[in-house]
Amino acid sequence: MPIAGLSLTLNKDETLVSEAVAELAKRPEILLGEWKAHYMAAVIDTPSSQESRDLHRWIESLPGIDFVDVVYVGFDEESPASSKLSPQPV
Amino acid sequence: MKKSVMDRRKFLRSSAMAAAVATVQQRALGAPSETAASPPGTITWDKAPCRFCGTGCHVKVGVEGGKVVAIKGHEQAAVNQGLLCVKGYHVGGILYGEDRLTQPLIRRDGKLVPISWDEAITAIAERIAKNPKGFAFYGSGQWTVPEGYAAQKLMKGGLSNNHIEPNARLCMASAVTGFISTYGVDEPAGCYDDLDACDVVITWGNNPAEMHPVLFSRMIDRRSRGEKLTLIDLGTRRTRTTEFADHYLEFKPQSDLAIANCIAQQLIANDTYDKQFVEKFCAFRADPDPSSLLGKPIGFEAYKKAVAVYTPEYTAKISGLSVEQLKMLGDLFGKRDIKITSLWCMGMNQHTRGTAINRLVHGIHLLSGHFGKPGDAPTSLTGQPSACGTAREVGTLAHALPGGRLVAKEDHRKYCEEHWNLPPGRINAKPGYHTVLMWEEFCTPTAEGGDIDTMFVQVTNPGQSLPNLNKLYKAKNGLEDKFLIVSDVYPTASTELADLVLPASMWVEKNGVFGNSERRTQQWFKMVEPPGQARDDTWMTIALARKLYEMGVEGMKDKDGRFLFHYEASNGAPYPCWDWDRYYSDDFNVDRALFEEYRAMTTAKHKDVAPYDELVKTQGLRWPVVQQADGSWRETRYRFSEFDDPYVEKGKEIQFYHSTTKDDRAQIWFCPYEDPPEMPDDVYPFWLCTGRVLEHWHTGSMTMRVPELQGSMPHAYVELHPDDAKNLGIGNSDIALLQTRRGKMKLPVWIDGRGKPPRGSVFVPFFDETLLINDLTLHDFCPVSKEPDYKKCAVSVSKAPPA
Repeated sequence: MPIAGLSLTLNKDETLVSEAVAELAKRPEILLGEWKAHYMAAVIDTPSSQESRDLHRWIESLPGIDFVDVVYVGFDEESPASSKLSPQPV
Repeated sequence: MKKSVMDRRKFLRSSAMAAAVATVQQRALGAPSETAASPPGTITWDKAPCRFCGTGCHVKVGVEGGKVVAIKGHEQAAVNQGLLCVKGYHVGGILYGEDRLTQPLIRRDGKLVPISWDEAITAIAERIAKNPKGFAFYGSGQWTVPEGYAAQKLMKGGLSNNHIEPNARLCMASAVTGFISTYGVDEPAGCYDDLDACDVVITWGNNPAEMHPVLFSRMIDRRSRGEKLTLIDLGTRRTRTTEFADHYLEFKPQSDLAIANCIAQQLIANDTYDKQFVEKFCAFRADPDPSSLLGKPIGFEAYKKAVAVYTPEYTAKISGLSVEQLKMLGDLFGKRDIKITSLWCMGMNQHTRGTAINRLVHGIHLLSGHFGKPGDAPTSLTGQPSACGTAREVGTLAHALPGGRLVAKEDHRKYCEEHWNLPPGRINAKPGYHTVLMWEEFCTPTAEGGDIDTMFVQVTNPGQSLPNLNKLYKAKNGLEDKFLIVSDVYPTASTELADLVLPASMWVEKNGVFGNSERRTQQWFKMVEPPGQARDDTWMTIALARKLYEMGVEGMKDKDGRFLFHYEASNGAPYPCWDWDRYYSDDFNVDRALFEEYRAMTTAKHKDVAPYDELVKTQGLRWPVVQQADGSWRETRYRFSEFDDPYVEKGKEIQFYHSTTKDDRAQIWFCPYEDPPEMPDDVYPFWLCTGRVLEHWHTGSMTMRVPELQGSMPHAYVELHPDDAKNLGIGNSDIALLQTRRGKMKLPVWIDGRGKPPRGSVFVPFFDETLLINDLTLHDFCPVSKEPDYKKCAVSVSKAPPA
């Protein structure tokens, strides 16, 4: 499933940020990276797209995190989808 | 094997972290450090603009084993600084839907069956040779610049046929006529840098949080850095943008015309307009009856008298805004010590008075002097990646020629004929059919006067995106003498009725050049092979031209008898760019040849695009791009302003050098409020507004193939106000029946969803090919731009009976 690189925008409240970082650090599927000013790098690696989306939403819900921007996605598996209107040759 | 998979995941995690760190450093420090470099690996990276909207984000595309395997935001791209939106970071996935079209198909006995490319091209050529005047070419703001240019040259230079249109007629034609009638030349004077410098952003019927999310992040990010940015959302429905707004001003559909006039009225009544700016740089103009592009001159006193009626009290009755809200806007524009940027997109453009509202918003910026300084700008955004670069600059519209020229002007035709080495008189002086008329002619039986009988569609999906589909698209069904050719990457609502389906290469399966919303031209190279027999649209156009040449069609020869697309390799020999086997080669780049031929045509309106080889080195350059004494090429951020635009004469400060009045002045227009052609009544008591959603791009033909995007937003819906729902006995997820004078449709209901329409109004997105909301929309259009209004028509809503 996709491995995503994230840029987290941190809140101005340092206490909230500390709490958020502590929560993030507890999750094994999250790898935290460099922290500069109000931004922190992170990578998430989950078994499924649904879990990736759920994790993304959870990070966004933390009071110390203002925004989550995805800056990298690896397409590790083929994930084709098709239209309902496919004209097929006979 | 397992170890190899694990190593690969470890590598991808390292790459992801490198990208994230680079972005964090870019955002925090203004530049990534060397420590943010990607780890060495087997993935090769190259740059490309994103395939989707007009923002023009640059991505890095990771290729491994002939396949796109990773996408990251380009940290050095000025537009997005490493960021991407949810669509952008999944852009690689659009190549790999399982139902890619991979071979030409022709309809026989109602079924699509395989044929060869030569048979397909021959079939089109024979139709055109039989009736060249009955041929129309319908392209797109997703056409690359070379694709649009080749189509333009084939039609206007080769076939003397001006029936060529881009789907961009449906999205930005009103912005074009607004710019031209105000400044005498198309496209914004400012750029995205305004978003970094302004104090106030006003979104006019615009939802950048979903439609241009990276630009929206760029603005909102300023707040995270402690800067003050006031966001005023002027809209007809609450959106994600509203959630971040300091002021949400909800107006009645169409009354944006009255609101803009009210701001002008207050600037004059309060004596807060910028007299010096107006006296030095502006003139006044009004819309005659019937409307025209250039209108008629009026003086300041006549203008003052015309807007005088639009007092806050009078406008409040039309618009639904309070007097206080209107006075807040009037006071805001009257302040000299703040900088205001206006943003708009489809809300102002898809409007039966689209040209008028565009003119009025430019007008209040000019009248108040909020123009020409970083942060002070009226800026339209485009929805497609090259609506500006291809539709507007190459001029793939029925009335236009490359570089801002017009077919109706003899000197413009003469220039193009000379540049293309054509015999005098080759280019037809009469504009062709605009989009709505073109499709109406195609869907009208020949015996009843419908004089377009062959339509070639490239890179767009009119079977889903045209308004009033039953009249403008589906009526083709059963018309035996009409022939529809659709080049696309996936089966779509358009291929459903196509007589010939051509499999196309897409995005990084081909070379390309796009032009974004801020005049930035961006180039990329082919990175992976297209599937099966899919081929480039430019190749299709040139191969068609060559087939016509071989059949003896005179227009395919220049005045010296050479092929219309005659290009020479470095050894001076004619290059067979119609031969697919030689289309991509190390010694000749067809895109480069076409682009350089086109580039010479861009200087007439001071839209000088950069040389192809300069674009190769960058993440795009904003025109006019002018060569400096040291040989380097300099882009322009702010047009018409002496401090940045090299074409402004010294000492002029501001110079509108393509002024319609030939005196370097911009025009401040008066256009009255007028009711829309269809309004809610007893039978159809609701407003219907249509539009886009964050996860899907336009008709969804690409994004619906990406499981992550499809899963996030799997189908269309109708947004309904809770009170209306209660009165109609409709609950969340119930099925509602929507009916207009043109069609009806059942849709699941979303109450208190992402968007919140006011009472008496509903919203439906148009991305879902199984729920074609354009069966219901109106095809009435702006009399000047010919752009239809997808944002307002009358609809009835009821609870659908159980199936």
